[in-house]
Amino acid sequence: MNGEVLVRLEDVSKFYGDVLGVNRITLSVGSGITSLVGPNGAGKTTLLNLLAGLIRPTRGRVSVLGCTPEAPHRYLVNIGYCTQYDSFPLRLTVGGFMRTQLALRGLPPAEAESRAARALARTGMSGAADRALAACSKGMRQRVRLALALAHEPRVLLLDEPLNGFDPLARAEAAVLFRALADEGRCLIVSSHILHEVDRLSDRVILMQNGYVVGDGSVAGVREELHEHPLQVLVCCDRPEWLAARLFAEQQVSEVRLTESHNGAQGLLARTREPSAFFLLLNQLAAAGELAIETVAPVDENLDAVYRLVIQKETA
Amino acid sequence: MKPEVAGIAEPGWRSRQMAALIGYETRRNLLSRRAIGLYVLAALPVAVFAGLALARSHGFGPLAQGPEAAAEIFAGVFDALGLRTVIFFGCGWLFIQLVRGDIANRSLHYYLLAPLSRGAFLAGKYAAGVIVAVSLFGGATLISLALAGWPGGGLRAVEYFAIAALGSIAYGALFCSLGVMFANPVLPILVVYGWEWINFLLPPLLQRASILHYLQALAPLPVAGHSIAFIAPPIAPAEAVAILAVFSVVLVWASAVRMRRVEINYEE
Repeated sequence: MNGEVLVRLEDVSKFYGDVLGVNRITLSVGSGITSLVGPNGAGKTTLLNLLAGLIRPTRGRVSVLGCTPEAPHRYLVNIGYCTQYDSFPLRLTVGGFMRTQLALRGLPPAEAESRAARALARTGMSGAADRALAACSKGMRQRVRLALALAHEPRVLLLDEPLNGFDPLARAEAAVLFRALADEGRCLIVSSHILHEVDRLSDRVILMQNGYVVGDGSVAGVREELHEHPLQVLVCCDRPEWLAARLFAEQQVSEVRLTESHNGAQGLLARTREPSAFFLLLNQLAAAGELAIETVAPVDENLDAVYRLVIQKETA
Repeated sequence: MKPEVAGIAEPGWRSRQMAALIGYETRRNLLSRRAIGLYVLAALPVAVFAGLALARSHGFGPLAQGPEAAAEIFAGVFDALGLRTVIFFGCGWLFIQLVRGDIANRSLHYYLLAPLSRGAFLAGKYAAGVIVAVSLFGGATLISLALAGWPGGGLRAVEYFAIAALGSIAYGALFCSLGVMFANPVLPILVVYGWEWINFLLPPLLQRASILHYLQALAPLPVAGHSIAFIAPPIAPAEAVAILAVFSVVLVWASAVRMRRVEINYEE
């Protein structure tokens, strides 16, 4: 991360009526990857929406590269936002949607075409340009949102839970992409409710809870705390009993329980102290054809405990 | 790395943005599933005059009674069905959806993340709505006139087309503003509809607070009034056009101002 401040929030608060969104946030963010981590309702999306100018602060000032959201025609030139809103104009193809959105940014058709193609290639969607958006899977739609956010090559990328809907392989690819974007000198602000999900790719972690920034620092300290708190992962697959037996042989897995997901699919819950090794193992099993994996989703029930520990450490 | 997006600094990028916005919105309003209602409404007067033309071809029906009778029938149908029903509800359906539809579809953020001022965004959406409304309802007016045998000739066709276009512009501005200002604009639409229908019962001063009042002032043939109506002093066509134009500009401007304060909160 270099010293240039690209994103600045000064004493920013947002209230929805009487409900607190975020309160008294003061932050300066430069290039590199900064993760916003916190449980649902912590204020991460509110903070990103404030930065994108989609909502206005009740108090305080937001600026990106010296511009403020009051002049969106200048402010939004350098911002790309991958939102969580899973809605698209469904009658368009992936490529058509990208070109339309780039045209709304004032790009000439040829330029929009080439930038759309480049962004889709970077997110592994080159082959899907002619596919209807309605026919895209959740993971593909997430890739399209990601491609759209970076297609106009903004200096600041706001990514709201960008790994949602991704399988382990896609997560790894996304991590490589984020690092490459950061190495190009861009500022990436990535939100997640799973610490383990972003700790390896982040230069800086900002912990949020109940609308407040409760921790802000390097990843090393957070990772140290994580080691003491295994990550719980939900895996839905065709052979959960077989996978459970296989996982018991792994030292990094401390607990395995068979379960059902909310939609009735068979699966298991596993606790691991080494998430990367765990996800790699799942990849290998899937690639070897041993297992058909439907879903892999971290379920971090210990997040609050980690926060408390991190906060205590920061305070000390 | 370039500090800004390529193309943005080039001359003409704003006009390209507006052209892209208007073009996309026009296609969407004309070709999406929600446009079916507009086509059905626009087809109503055409269907009426198609039926009357069919009757005329068999030597009976009101159109068979000569051009004067055809002109009077057209004037009556244009007022009751064209202006009060087709253009009113068509514009209501079309212009309310411009912003409110994107909120319902959770797609408004795609527009608001483009580097475009909110005022320009709203103006582009409104312009696309006007293009669609004038094409459909003005087109339906001309087809109806053709089916009626062009009573009054080409000049009268231009006059009716202009009334349909002005009605689309003025009602469009009104419903566009209601769509921006009200989360649920159904009640305001019904209030406006009631106001437009009972307008003839109101004192002359209050009659002037009605879009229909000015559109009727432009009609080539006056429609027979109600026996209990208050008689308002006549309005010069130029004055009616000017008032409708100013009214539309003010409402679109007010909507653009309100648009600046619109926030993305789809959970509302």
